Amino acid sequence: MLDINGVQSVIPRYWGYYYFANAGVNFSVVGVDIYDKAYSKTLDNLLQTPKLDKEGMVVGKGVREIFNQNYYNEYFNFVKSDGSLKRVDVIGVFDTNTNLESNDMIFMPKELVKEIFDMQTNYATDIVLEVPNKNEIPSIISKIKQIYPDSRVITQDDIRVSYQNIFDYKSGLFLSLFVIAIFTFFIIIYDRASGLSSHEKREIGILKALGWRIDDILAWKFYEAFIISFSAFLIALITSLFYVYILQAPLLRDIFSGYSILKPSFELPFTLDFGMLSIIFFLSVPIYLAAIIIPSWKIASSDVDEVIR
Amino acid sequence: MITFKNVNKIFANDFYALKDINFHIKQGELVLLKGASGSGKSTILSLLAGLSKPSSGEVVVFNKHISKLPDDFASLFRREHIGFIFQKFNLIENLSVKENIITPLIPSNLEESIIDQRCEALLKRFDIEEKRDVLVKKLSGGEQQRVVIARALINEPRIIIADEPTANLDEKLSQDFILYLKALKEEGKTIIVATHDNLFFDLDFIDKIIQMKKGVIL
Ligand SMILES: Nc1ncnc2c1ncn2[C@@H]1O[C@H](COP(=O)(O)OP(=O)(O)O)[C@@H](O)[C@H]1O
Ligand SMILES: [Mg+2]
Repeated sequence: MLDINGVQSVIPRYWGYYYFANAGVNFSVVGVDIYDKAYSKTLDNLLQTPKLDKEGMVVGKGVREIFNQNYYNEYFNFVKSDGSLKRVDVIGVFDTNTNLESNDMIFMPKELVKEIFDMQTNYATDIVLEVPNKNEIPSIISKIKQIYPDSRVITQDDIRVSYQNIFDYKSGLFLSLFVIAIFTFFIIIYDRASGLSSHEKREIGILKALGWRIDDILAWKFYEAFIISFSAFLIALITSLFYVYILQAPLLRDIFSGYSILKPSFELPFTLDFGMLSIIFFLSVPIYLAAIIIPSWKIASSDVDEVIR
Repeated sequence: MITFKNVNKIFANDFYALKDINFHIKQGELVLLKGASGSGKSTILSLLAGLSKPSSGEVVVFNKHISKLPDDFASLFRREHIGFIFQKFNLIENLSVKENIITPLIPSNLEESIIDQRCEALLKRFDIEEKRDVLVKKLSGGEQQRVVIARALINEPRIIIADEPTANLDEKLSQDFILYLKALKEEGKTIIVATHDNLFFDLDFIDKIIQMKKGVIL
């Protein structure tokens, strides 16, 4: 394939799903050149305790836990296709921050991958072609098809599109939940803004009759509404943190992580997006305040003589 | 001290709630506004306190044209000079006795120690010291009535306005109220009471009765 015009490099990859029957889960086993400079440096950064000094595998946190549950602490025995065992030492665990991606991953030298999956010497799982000029891609694809009619060629764009589809479906679901929440919020706001209860009106009337100025009443209303909306914001924040990180997001988690039953369970890495938080804050608290203050101001600045009737 | 001069109050539907009202009240007088329900008593009180404005005519209190005061100044005027006693008590239910009593002074810049002092004196005078921190909705009718009077006195007003003060009280509590009223009059307060309760009409310390009917003074 290197002979095809426009192809810069050809890299064979060795990987596969290893089914661990005792736990009923799949691991994604990926072969890398651990001792290749480029790889080991990036790997180092992703590890909890960066030291790759002997031959072995680097595993995700979920994999590590499953190993431990099955009494494999230092190493793991892979069952090869002929039934014999292959022992591989655990030499590193991925950092928790990469959990979402690395949880079910096992990285090991490609020779070991080939041995465990019983791959022939000059075989690979797939082949990555690097094509610097995008415009040449279609003609290269057709040439590959000519040479290897049974091959399947996937471009980076194809991958992107398929991810896009998955996330469109998922984000669509979240979007609809989000829209429902927003809608509810605005119904409440509308209800508040379209008029205070007679009880609230009366209270404003009493205060005014007792010598409060409009400003005094609004300051008090503001204070009250701020406490209500700010504590609602805090409660919502704490509940959602609790839901996601303590309860580990039941229901939503399955939607997000797909066919997770077959994969090792994972813990959600803790992130707090302050940009998002401030958007939520500024969409809720000030709007609620306005929805209280404006009608209060209307009532307070009109005649309130009903209180003495 | 209080003067109504050619006062008319017309509501949106061309209804004359008050028609050419003229009267004068001197400092320290106790005046009854008498008349059937709907005759315009509350409307007079609200004009007097600056809670609403006459359609025409003048309301003058302490040489001030209440009818021409901007809203905020009317509030300050009430805070300074007027104590209100409402028919429906109009206490703020979720606040304690003490909080209700000091409500009129919360926006004022009076020192807290002074407000406290006044409040304690009133709690004592009306025998509700023990109830200081109780929510007003848990009080009996008589106790609530005393909180209302205490609240009307916290700003040490010169004028007390009471609208149907005994309408929700039984005979005994109404008599008590009349005693409080007498004491206030003896302290030199100017008092205007709107009522159609017969208990008031043969009291010997009443200075003037203004008899209303359908928006006019008879
Ligand atoms: N906001 C208003 N709009 C229209 N009519 C009103 C309004 N307020 C009071 N009125 C009418 O004015 C009249 C006098 O009311 P009010 O002063 O409350 O009487 P009183 O206190 O003597 O029972 C009543 O007929 C009442 O229905
Ligand atoms: Mg009335």
